[in-house]
Amino acid sequence: MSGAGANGGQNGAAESGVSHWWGQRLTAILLVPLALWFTASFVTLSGAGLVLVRQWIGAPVTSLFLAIFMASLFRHIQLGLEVVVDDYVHGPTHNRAATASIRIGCILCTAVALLSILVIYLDGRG
Amino acid sequence: MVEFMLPPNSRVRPGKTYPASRAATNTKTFHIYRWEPNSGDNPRLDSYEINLDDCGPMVLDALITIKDKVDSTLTFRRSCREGICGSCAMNIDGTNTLACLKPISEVKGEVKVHPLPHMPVVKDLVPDLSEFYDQYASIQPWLQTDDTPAADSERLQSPEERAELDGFYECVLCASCSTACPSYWWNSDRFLGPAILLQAYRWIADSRDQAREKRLDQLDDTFKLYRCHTIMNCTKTCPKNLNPARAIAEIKKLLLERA
Amino acid sequence: MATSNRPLSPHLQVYRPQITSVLSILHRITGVALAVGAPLLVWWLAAAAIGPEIFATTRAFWGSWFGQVLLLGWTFALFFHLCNGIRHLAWDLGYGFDLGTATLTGWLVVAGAAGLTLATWFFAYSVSGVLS
Repeated sequence: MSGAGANGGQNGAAESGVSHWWGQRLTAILLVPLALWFTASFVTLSGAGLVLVRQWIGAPVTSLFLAIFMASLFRHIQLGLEVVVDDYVHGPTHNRAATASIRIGCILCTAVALLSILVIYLDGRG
Repeated sequence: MVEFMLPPNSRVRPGKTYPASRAATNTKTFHIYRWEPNSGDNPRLDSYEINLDDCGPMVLDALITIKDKVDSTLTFRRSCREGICGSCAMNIDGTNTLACLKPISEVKGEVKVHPLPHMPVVKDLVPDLSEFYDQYASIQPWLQTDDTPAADSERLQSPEERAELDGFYECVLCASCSTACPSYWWNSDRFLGPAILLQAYRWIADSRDQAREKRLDQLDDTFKLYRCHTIMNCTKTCPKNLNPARAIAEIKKLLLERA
Repeated sequence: MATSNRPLSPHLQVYRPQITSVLSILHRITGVALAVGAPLLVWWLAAAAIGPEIFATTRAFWGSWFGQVLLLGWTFALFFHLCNGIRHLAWDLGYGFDLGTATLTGWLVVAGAAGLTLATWFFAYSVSGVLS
């Protein structure tokens, strides 16, 4: 998985450029098939009841792919928004504050998503 | 936070109008950015109506005609008038190019002429390029080697190795591409910009140069190189039809290969 | 020579918009829009995990006209960002830098994003009369 610690957590202006750039590309490559697969599934599930939706989320293959999707999605979002912030927000204090909020937000979202998938998966097993 | 608007002292006001003589039948109007450093005034846009029958074919010819016959205070850089010196780069009809290579007939309607975008203005169409030249110096644009060839030999290069420099050595450092790049607008203090990165690649790609690793080390930086987001305004605007965006992509590829 | 009062030359104010720069800023805008929308996917997952009441509330919101307009916007943003992202990946590999090619792929991205958006909504509405 993309792994939030893969870059040693040294993003922003201090990091070597190539690892940040590559992280963004790697997650992008993962997201192309995953986003298409998710959108197609979401459309197919459109209007379906909760039971059906949980059945879909909780299936072993789906839950694994969903977990990878969510983790790479929020990693990609984090890296992308950091680039936007570095482009436009120049004051060091504001830059650090914005970067930190992005990171916290993305970690929170990933955690809640993975937890939800896990809950549904375990519920389907038990 | 980046300023997307012009600061108050930089906002352009309406200026004077210089009509053509009544006898002229084939005329075109040029709106030209003017700023007089000693006046304390804001920049203004002066309008000159030019008799095209009494003027050469290029935008540079029109500027020279204005300076010679209408308003001798109009200030701009020019030298070779054939696209090799890179002096007369400016924003014409909304894109950057060399005034000497831009036919007046290519511009539909009235012609707007501004200095290269998002630069400090020295006077009229003359921008201050000091920072641009400092950035050029920072990439050490000369052949660097560890050894010395024997006194009776030279550093040879095969035709194939020489061909690697095609599309890069032709750059005349006019700064059209760099000042067309929004990323360079917002981060010119830290981003090297397309022209300087193309020049950097010209030395990285040179088979005779032995400082490649050092050059790549220097460029592996979130700001110096990776503010390039492949917007492609550089390639779109280059008056020499070079491709700075491709040169930058090649640098990124080399950095990835050795990572 | 006094240099401090030098004006800044016009930039955004005068630079002509072109397909290169317009698609580039659109890539950024759609990216940020998708980043804003992504937490709502998490909401959807969490609602499914928590239970029927909250899931029904979520559903009702997405089924409303406001929710549908948001989803339509995000569908286009997703497909544009995805198609243009593939264009960017090709550039990163060194392909597609000729100006003619870059212009052509730019228009292909616009057409692809519009086509995929229409197909998605056509399919969703023909299957269940709603996308939610």
